[in-house]
Amino acid sequence: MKPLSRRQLLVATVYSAILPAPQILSAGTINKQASNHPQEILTAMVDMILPADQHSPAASQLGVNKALWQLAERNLNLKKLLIKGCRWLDKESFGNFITLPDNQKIELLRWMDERASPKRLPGLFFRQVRYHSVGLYYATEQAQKGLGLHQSPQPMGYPEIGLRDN
Amino acid sequence: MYDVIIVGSGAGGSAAAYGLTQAGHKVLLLEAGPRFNPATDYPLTNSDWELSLFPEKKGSQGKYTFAPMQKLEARWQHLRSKNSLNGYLSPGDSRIPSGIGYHHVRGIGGSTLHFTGESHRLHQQSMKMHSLFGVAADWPLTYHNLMPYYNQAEKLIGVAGITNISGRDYNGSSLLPPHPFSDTSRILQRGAEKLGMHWQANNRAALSQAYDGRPACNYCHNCNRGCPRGDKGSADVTFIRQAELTGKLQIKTRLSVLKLENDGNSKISGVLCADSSGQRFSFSAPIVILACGALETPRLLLNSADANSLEGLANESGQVGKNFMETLSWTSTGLSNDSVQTFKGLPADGICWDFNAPDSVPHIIGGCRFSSTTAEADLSGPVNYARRLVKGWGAEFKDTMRQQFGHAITVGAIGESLPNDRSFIALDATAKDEHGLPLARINSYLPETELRRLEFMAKRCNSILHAAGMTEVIESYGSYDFFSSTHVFGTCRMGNDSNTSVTNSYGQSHRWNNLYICDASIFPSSGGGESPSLTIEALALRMANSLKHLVE
Ligand SMILES: Cc1cc2nc3c(=O)[nH]c(=O)nc-3n(C[C@H](O)[C@H](O)[C@H](O)COP(=O)(O)OP(=O)(O)OC[C@H]3O[C@@H](n4cnc5c(N)ncnc54)[C@H](O)[C@@H]3O)c2cc1C
Ligand code: SF4
Repeated sequence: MKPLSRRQLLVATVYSAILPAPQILSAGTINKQASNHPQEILTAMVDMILPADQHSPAASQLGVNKALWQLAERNLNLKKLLIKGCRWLDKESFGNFITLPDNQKIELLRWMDERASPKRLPGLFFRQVRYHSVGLYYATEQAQKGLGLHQSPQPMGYPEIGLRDN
Repeated sequence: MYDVIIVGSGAGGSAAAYGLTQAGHKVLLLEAGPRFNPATDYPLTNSDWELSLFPEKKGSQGKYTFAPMQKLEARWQHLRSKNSLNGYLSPGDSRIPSGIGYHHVRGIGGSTLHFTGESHRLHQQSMKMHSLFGVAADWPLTYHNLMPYYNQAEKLIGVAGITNISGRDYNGSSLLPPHPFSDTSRILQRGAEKLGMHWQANNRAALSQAYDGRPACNYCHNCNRGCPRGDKGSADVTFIRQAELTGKLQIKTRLSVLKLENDGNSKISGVLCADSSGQRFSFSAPIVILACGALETPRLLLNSADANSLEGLANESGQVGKNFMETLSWTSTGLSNDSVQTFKGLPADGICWDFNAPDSVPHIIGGCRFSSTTAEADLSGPVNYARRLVKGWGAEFKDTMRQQFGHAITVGAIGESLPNDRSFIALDATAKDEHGLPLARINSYLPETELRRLEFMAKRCNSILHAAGMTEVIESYGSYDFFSSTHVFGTCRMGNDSNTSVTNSYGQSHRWNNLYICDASIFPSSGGGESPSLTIEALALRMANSLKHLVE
């Protein structure tokens, strides 16, 4: 995946403004009070993408949510996309993505991943968040240990390879 | 004060500096980029090592522009780069540069800092492409003219490898033992051999044992991010280090040469350069050697046009910037079901030379080779698996990551790149650098013959993966839709005829007696996929040897 371009962002957000929002979740009550900060929404989202299991912690426990926001602070297009995407998520979640039950969060994210066009806001937003969060996650020691990878390439390397015969 | 000025410290400039300082000459080496420190600049000890590639320092990247490239056609659809997660990787209907397109480093050691370190000699027939096959141009020297310098370069670097490679004579060579195969190479060997292909140890500028005060490789699989141990034979820790030990080499970093001045007769009289603040300096010496690489050397010559050389310095033949040859390459990746850990081992440790002779690819002139390429495809760590290979998200995704990490196998091919009229380097009419000089503009075109060779390379790569037991190609990436060059050549071609070439076989300009070129721009043909550094270095050592007495 390439860095997000200004043009991609424009196309994606213009489309999402003209198209009616998809009816993904079954009816619920709109919570007009809720106005979550994008960082809180992203925390919930990255933890759905990378949940805890017996091998490694959830994304937010490894600081992926914060690192993602820091990345966005240095990349205006990404920041705009994250803010608009989070707004869209809340809107689709009857006003509050964070308080949706997990099965509904999964339903919504699955729609964004599998059905939404990668050129429009929901699809582009999901793909960018996934791309960056999996990268930031597996760049941590704890996530790597969860894969059975117990070292960085150096300083030890893998000298056992040098002992092989061809 | 100096006997020789060398401009550029990559493969060519470093080897020239070594040869000349060994002979006792005082050399001034002018380098546009910075110096990298292997121990501190290559962060392979950090857990987030995979998030960056070769580190960037101020001034370590040049700027270029690209002329629009060819339209993609439905009949070559199968050559488009794609990935099972993201579909087709090039967004539009034209070929485009992949990232910066011309992958290089500016710094002491040049692009060898970032290179993998394959250390190849050219197939003997590849130097006679015109007389044997009617394409490109012949080299004005033979393999055997170059052989002593191949031997010398390999010995200095500590190349590890084998000598029974078809099309080459290794008489007098002294290589270190070859490296053992990684899991990638073991699997690919199985596939290649099922297809009747021969899989051999690749000759590598990476130490298989401690040598010359440098430690042996510890198989960390990350040569392209810079080798922190210094066992990879990049030019900084080999040629430059040895040249500095003579006390005869003075290096000036972050100094870009802007223009060569001439005496209007037959000599280069001065070298004008500038530092990053724009302050200008001028140097002169009896001999001036250019080694800026196949993009920047022609740019410098074209930017040095004046009343005595209206079309650019040393461009009496009109060949400066012409005959641009790029990297024709393909990679295919699959996931092995074997119990493997392909993030361990030396990159590009295995190779097949069966199709390297110029007439060995059926019905197409120009050879190619196949090698293990998992590291060059940047599949050395989990970040790229998660981003490129493993689908989905959530608990299931994490499970799949655990099953598949370490199983990616990439086979790659690099093929001959033949010169054509539409591939050349020119000066950009509008874009300029910080000193107000026109940038190099890359014009690249792949004619039918190149695409047919690429198609052969792609099909073979896929067949090797299938024969090795992988049912699906999950990512393929090639030159059809992306310009992505690590090897570039040809833009100041050498030859015997001053009407059709820029230099003679020693890299000496046909017109300006004290001007030499010793980088990949002097190659008259590219070879059938061989990596070029060793040949560049051998040519530079031969040139330096020819200058041994000239300076005195
Ligand atoms: C990722 C990668 C992998 C590679 N793998 C291999 C491999 O396995 N084996 C192999 O043989 N080759 C490999 N190569 C290619 C190899 O690195 C190059 O072919 C080789 O370094 C070219 O040598 P050169 O002297 O022509 O130019 P370079 O090594 O590029 O050096 C040119 C130098 O000139 C300097 N310069 C340019 N303009 C100016 C100026 N105006 N003033 C002052 N200085 C200037 C630059 O800063 C640079 O340092 C690889 C390259 C890359 C990028
Ligand atoms: S694999 Fe060997 S040569 Fe390459 S970077 Fe690692 S230690 Fe250095």
